[in-house]
Amino acid sequence: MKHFLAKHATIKHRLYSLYYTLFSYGRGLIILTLCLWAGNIVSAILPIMIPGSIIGLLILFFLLAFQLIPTRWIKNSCNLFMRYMTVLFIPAAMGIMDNYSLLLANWLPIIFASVGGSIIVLFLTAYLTENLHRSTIKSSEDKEKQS
Amino acid sequence: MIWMLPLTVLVFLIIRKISFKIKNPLFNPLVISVIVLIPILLITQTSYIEYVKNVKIINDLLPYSVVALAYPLYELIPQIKARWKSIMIITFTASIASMVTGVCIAFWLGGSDEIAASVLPKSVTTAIAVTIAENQGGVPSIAALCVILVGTLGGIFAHQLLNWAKIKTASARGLSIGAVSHAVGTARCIEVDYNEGAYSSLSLVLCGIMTSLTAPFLFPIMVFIFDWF
Repeated sequence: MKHFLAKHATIKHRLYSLYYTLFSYGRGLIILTLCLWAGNIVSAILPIMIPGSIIGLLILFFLLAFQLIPTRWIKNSCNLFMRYMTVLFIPAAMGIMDNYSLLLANWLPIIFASVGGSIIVLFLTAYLTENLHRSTIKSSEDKEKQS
Repeated sequence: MIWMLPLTVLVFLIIRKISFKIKNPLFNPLVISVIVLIPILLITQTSYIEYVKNVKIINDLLPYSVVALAYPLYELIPQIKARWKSIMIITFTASIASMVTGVCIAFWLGGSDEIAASVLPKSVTTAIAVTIAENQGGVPSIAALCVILVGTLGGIFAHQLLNWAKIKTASARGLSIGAVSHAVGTARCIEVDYNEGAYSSLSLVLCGIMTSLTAPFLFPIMVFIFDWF
């Protein structure tokens, strides 16, 4: 009997933690949705073409930065999105199925401009960062290690 | 054709599990998933349009994941505070440089204005790139393709290139990969190192905003200069 009770208690406990997890994901998702909607509205009003998702990101960032929303409300669902982000690019990447004729006709400028330009910018940015941050790198690396 | 959505997710999850065991950057989950999925669609004679219609929910979740990037960004606040000026300079330079190099090479190799405008926003997230390309008279689908190409190649090779150039600080690696291969590179950075991923998302966001602000002025000037020569 005692054993049964203990087992029962763990089941109950697990169920509660499951509820809490689902609840925290739901809460995070609602906050993300609200931020995205607000971002879409602002982007429709603004004269410049900035996507609503970027403005939504800035809104959520400022909400977190000014501590209008506690981090724990959003943490779980944000980490979920971070972990499985790559799957969201599959539909766009599958677009290669339909566009290969356009790509074949102009492959030379497209490939070289994309790849060559990117390699130049990658090294330019990396070296620029290392040079600009050289003075502050040591102190911040220590901080990173501490945290 | 309801099975396409679970199939896509299942294929991705299996490949992701395998990629953790193999740990080879060439075994990129995105590329391998596409390589596995395209033959399946061809065998079952499903068109791309039909496929996209069925996996619409995945596409719709993309803006949510962009908003979710606010969290790693929030965790970076102490580092941003210490050197926000240099970070602004770096991301501004990177977005201008990526537009200038892309357009110059495209014109130089005989691309039309249309192709140059499609290559212009290659280093920002798909959502931003498509709107920029449309506004500048490019082809949105080619723009999306360039974005995916640059992002995927960045996700595969950027870490090795940076290792080879002996760049080891998380800030330099994260900022440069985020500036070049946007969200795909950021997703890869998060897999490799959380701090790097946060820097990468910072650079992704700032470069996205700066590119969408400067492109409407920069592109006509570049077209004018190349027509003049």
